[in-house]
Order: sequence, then structure tokens, then C-alpha cells
Amino acid sequence: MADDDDDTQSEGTDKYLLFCLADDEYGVPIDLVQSIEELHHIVPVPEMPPYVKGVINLRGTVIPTVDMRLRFGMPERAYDDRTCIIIVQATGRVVGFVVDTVSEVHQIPKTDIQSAPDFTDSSGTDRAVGGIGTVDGEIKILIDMERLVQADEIPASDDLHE
Amino acid sequence: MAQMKLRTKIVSGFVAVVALLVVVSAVAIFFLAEARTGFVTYRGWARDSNLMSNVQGNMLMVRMNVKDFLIRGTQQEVDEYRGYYDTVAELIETATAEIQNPERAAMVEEIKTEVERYDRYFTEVIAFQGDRDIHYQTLVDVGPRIERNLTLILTSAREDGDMVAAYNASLATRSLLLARLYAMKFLDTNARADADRVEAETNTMEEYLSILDAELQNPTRRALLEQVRTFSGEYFKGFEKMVEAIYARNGRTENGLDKIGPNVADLANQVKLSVQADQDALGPKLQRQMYLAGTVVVIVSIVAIVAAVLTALLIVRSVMKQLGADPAAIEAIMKRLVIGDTDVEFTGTGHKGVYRSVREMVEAIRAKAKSLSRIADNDFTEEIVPASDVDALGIALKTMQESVADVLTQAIQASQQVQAGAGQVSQASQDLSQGATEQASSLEEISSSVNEINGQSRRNADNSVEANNLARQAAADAEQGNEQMTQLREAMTNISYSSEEITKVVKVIDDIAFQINLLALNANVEAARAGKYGKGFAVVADEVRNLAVRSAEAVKETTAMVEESVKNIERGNKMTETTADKLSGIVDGSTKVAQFLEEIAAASREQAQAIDQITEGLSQVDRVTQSNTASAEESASASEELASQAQQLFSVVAQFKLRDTQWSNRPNALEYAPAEVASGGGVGSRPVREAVVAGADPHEVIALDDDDFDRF
Repeated sequence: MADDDDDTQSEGTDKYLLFCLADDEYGVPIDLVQSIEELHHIVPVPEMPPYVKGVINLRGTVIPTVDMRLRFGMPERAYDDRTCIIIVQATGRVVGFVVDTVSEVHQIPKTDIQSAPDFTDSSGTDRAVGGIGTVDGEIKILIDMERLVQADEIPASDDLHE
Repeated sequence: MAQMKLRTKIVSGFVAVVALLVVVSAVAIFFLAEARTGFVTYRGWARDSNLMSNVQGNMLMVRMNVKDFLIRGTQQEVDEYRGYYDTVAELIETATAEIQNPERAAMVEEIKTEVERYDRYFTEVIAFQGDRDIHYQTLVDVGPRIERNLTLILTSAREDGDMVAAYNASLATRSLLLARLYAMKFLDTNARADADRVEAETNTMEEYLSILDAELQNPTRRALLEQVRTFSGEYFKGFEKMVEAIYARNGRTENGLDKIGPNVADLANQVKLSVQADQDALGPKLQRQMYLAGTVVVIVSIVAIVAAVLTALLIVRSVMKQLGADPAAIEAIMKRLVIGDTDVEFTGTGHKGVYRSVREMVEAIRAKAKSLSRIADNDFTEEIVPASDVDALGIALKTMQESVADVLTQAIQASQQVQAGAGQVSQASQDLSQGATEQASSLEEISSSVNEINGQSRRNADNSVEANNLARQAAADAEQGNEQMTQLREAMTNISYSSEEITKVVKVIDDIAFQINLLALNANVEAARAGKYGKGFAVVADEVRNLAVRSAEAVKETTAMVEESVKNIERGNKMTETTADKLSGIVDGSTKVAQFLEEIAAASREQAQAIDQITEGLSQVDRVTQSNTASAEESASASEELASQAQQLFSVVAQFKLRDTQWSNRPNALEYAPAEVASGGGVGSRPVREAVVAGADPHEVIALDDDDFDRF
């Protein structure tokens, strides 16, 4: 147990927050997650890529919000009472991601994670895949949030404040 | 005139009277118009005359103000003069516009010129009066100064003892005072003598002053004397100028104003006189015209009245000629005719018009009455000749006489035929009697059959009623079942509603479970952020999450169950509806069966009643048959009686006197031929059967009457 503690301490936790998009589950490292929120009113911001739906006001902080489905090139779906926003803090930026719903927090040991297949596709979508995890025989696609946040043209919340 | 219609006569009479009235009115209107023109002219002249009087009056006021001015010389008089002068000028302007007579217009023009001249003169007089006032002021100023200086010279000379100077100074003073006195007198009198005296006294004073000039040595007195001489010159020059102004003023007044004023008054008077002369000419003329008009209107009215009376007489005469007598007399005759009295007497001879026509009519009616009274005495022999083709009464009378005669002839024939017919009727009656007996036996058989049918119908009716009751019971049961079905459906609807409510509650629970899950995940996130310190917390969060997940699962199961029961309810609903429809069908069918049965029962009852009526009818037929038998026997005896009555009738009819022409066609009643009856020309003649001819076979007669017999 002490070893485990040390591991988590040194390499970060191997817990992932699992969320749903369409019929599949995806994972986000839990230490990047700031909180999970119910759907807020999203204020549209002009001249943004289509997947940037706008900004939300989270307890006084203005946070840019991205539709994960649109971001991954999936068909758009009307928001319902299960729709959640995952607030992620990575590379010093705070971004909200709209997902169909969140399911659970699950531990995925490194041994159950394979690196992402080497797609040579340069369209950019593969850049966000950090690895493929397996939980009870089911595949969970693990998102590399740091890369995703860095690659996107998401306005920093500070910029918005200005 | 005599050929005209009554209405035309009366209308033309009134037209003539109205025409006369129009003539009278026209004459009166013509004279009134003349008189009106005259009066308008007269009134215009009266206005002119008034205008001139106003001019005269105002001119008088103008002149009075001029006089006042000459006496007092203040501005007030000039102002009043201006007011009256303006009034005069206005009046003259009005007169110029209104007075059209050339002679008088010329006079008005002259008045206008004169008045304007008068005004010019008066303006000059005002100027001269101003001059006079200035110079008068000089005299008043300078005179006392001269006197004072002379008095100073006198007193100082006396004090110095220069008696020559004092003496001359006092003499000069005396001349001065005299000159001033006469100057004042001149102001009052305006006389030349006073002016000359002033000049003389002034010259005298000058002489004394010259002496003083030679005598005086004292410088003070010389200075005073120098002043006196200057003042003396001023005084005399001022006085001369004042005299000039006064004479000029007086000249304007006497030669201008005093002549023009009366002249204007005179001219205005002349205008008035001219107007008056015209009025004097027009007045009597108008009076004569009015008198003439009165006379003409009276004469025309008398002529109109006479003409109207003559017209009325003419119309009355013409109308009376057409009527022949007074309408009241004709009406009295007509009233007597109406109540049937033809004994009317016509007075006088040579009747005319309507009266003659009435007399002719009465004579014609008397002739008709006479013919009728002969017919009344059973005498049909007279030959009636109608007065003309259109004499409806005469033709009708003739037709009536002929028709009645014809009827009588036929009556004779008929009585003979009746005798023959009576025998045949007797035979027929016997046959009838036998037939009726056979009928009676048939009727008895029919009657027993009908009674049997009647009993069956009644049983039918009873059975139908029982079946009807059963059908009604079935319908009522089905109805009750249907009502219970409805209640069942309501209960199921309630269950369905409750299920929906449960679904809503379950949804709320599901939402709460989701929220708890969210909270648990957030707690997990927080725990992860807290590192190893958050581990225990993470475990708790997981447990909470597990509970939430279990709640959600339970909710899902509940939802599935509720949905299942809702589906079952819907299925039950459908089945209930089908059952209800079926039950309704049973209710409808039962009701119909009940109705049919009721109809059958009613029909059976009606059948029974109808059969009762048939039974009744049969018994009536039976009675009738029996009475028929009796009747047939009676008619046999009656026909014999009939034959004897016919004989009697013939003897009665034969009493009427008929003309030979009417009677000769059928000299013997027993031998006449039917063809001759048809050619008799009688109105309403009836064809007679050949079989009725006397001596025909009675059996043949009966055979021919079979059709009639069927009616029995």
C-alpha cells in the first residue's frame, strides 16, 4: 500500500474519469479534471471554430467551452438533462468540454494501457489520443488533454477577461 | 253646346269663371305695380329734400361758428367749424351720388363749389386774425413802456426844475394815451375815423417828442427819450399793420363769407323747391292713377260677375234640356219602379231627354208585366215578340213561356211512360225477393268461419305479449352490463393516470440519482487532487456513487414495470371497448325484437277487432237481406200504386192551355213517337228509351236493367 502511495505520488494517479460520447466511453486523467458540472447556459462567442460553443460563467470564472462531439468530428446531438461539462485544467488553461454524460472514475493501471496506434493521418484528430485503455475487456480511449488543449484554437479565459 | 257632355259643360263653365278672375287679378296687379313705381320715386325725392335741409342746417352751424370765431377768436370755434364743415361736405357728397335730376345735380355741384370757396376764405380769415393778434400784442406791450418812460422823464424833469421838458413830456403822454384810447376804440368799431385819429395823435406826440429832443440836456432823460422814440415808431408801425390785417379780414368776411353763406342756403332752398315742384306734380298724378285703378278694377269685377252668372244660367239650361225633368222627379219614378210599382203618371207633354227615356222604359215594363200575368193564368197561347235583338227580358220571357209549355208537354208523356214502367218494376221485385233468400243461407256459413279465425288471432296476440316481455328483460340486462363496462373503463383510466404519476415520480428519483452520481464523481475528483490524503474520501465517494447507481437501476426496473402495466391497461381498455360494443349490439337487437313483438301483438289485436267488425258487418248484411226481401214485396205493390198516380198526373197536366203549334206536334199522348220528342225543340228534353214504348215485352226490360240491379 505504501508503494502504491509512493507511485501515485511520483507518477500521478492512474485514475481516469470516464465519460460517454455516443455509444463509447472515453477517459480523462482525473488529476487534470477540475470539476464536473451540469449543463450551464453557454454564451456564444463570435468568430470561433464551430466546436467552440462559447463560454460559461462558472461561479464567477469565465471558461471557454468546447463540444467534444464536434471536436472529434462526430454528429452533433441535442443537449439533455444528462449532458455534462467537464472542466479541465491543462497547460495552465481551464477549458470546459461538453460530453453526453459522465459515467465513473476508474483506475486503469499502466499495464492495461497501450500506446495509441500509429496513425499517419495528419488531419490532427489523432493527436488527442493518448492511449487505449482496457477495463473489464472493454476499450476506453484515453484523451491526452494537454495536447488537445494546446492544439486547439481555444481562447484562454484570461484573453476573454481582457 | 247641346252636344257636349255634362262634365265638359261644368268644367268649361268653371274655366270661364277662373279666366275672368285671372283678368281681374291681372288688372289689379298692373295698377298696383304702377303705383309702387310712383311711390318709390316720391320717396327718393323726399330723401333728396331732407338731404338739402340737412345741408342748410349744418351750413347755418358753420356760419354761426365763423361769427363766434370773429367775436372770440379761440381755437374751439375753429374746431367746431371743422366738424360742421366736414358734415356739410359729406352731405353734399351723398347728394351728388343720389340726386339724378340734371338741373338739381348742377345746383348741387354749384353748392359744392361755393362751400369749398367758403372754406378757403375762412382759412384766410383765420390767418389774418392771427396777424391782428400778433400786432395787438405789440400795442399792448409797447404802449405802457412809452408811457412809463415819458412818466420817468416828467418826474425827473420836474425834480430838476426843467419845466419845459416836464410840460412837453406831459403833453406827449396825453397824446399817447389818446392814441391808445382810439386804438382800443378802433378794435371795437373798426372805423376808419378812429384809425385816423390814432395817426393824428401819434403825429402830435412825435411833435412833442421833437421839442423834447431839442430841449433835453440831461443824459439820463435823453436816453429815456431815445427809447421812447424807438418805441413810438414800433407802436405806430404795429398799429398800421393791425389795421391792415383787420381790414383784410373784414374784406374777406363781408365780400366772401357773408355772401357765400346765404348763397349756399339759397341754392339748397332752390333744390328743395325744385323737388317740391316735382312732388306736387307727381302726387296728384299718383292719386288720379289709384282712383282710375279702383274704377277699372270695379268695372272689370262687375263684368266678370255678370259673365259668370250668365255662364251658370247657360249651363243649367243646357243640362236641364238633356235631363228633361228635375233629377229628383226621375229618382222618385225610379224608386217606385224598384219596389215594383208600374202605375206611374207622367205629367205634361212633349217630354225630352232622360225623362222621355224613362217614360218609354216604364211602358215597356208594363207590356212585359201583362204578358207574365197571362202566363200566371195558365194561358200559354199568347205569342210574345221581343222589342229588339238585345231585349234580354223579352227574349227570356219568350223562352220561358216556350220552355214551360214544352215541360208540360213532356210531363204528359212522362206520366204515360211511368204507367208502363210500373208493371216492369213489379216483376223485378219478385225476382229480387228470391235472390235475397239464397244470400241469407250463404251468410250463415261465412259467419261461423270468421268466429274461428277470431279465436286464433286472440291467442296470437297473447303469445306475442309474453315474448315481448322476455325480450325487454334481455335488453335491460344487457343495458346493465354495458353500464358496468363503462365503470370498468373509468377505473382503468384512473389506473392509467396513476401509472403516469408514478412515472413522473420515478423520473424525479432518477434525476436525483444522477445528481448524486455527479456529486460523487466530483468528490472523487477532489479526492484525487488531494492525493493520498483524499484516499479515504475517495472510497466514501465510490460508495455513494454505488448507491446512486443502484438507485438508478431500481428506477429503471420500476419504470419498465410501470410501462408494462400501462400496456396491460391499454390492452384491457381495448377489450372492454369490444365487450361494450357487443353489449350495445345485444341491447339494440333485444329492443328491436321487443318492438317487432309489440307490433305483432298490436297487429293481432287489430286483426281480432277487424274480425269482430266483419262479424258485425255480416249480421248487418243478414238484416239487409231480410229487409230486401220485404222491400221487394213492397215495391211490387208500390208500382201498382204508381201506375194509378201517373194516370192522375196526366189528367192534371191536360188542364193547361197550350198553343196549337205546341200541341199539334203530339195530338195523342198514347201514340207519340220518340223521334218527335227530340225534334220538339224543348229545353232540357230527355231521350226516352225505346223499350218504354207501350206494349214492349217486360222480360226484355228486366234483362236490360241488370246493370242497375247489381247495385243492390
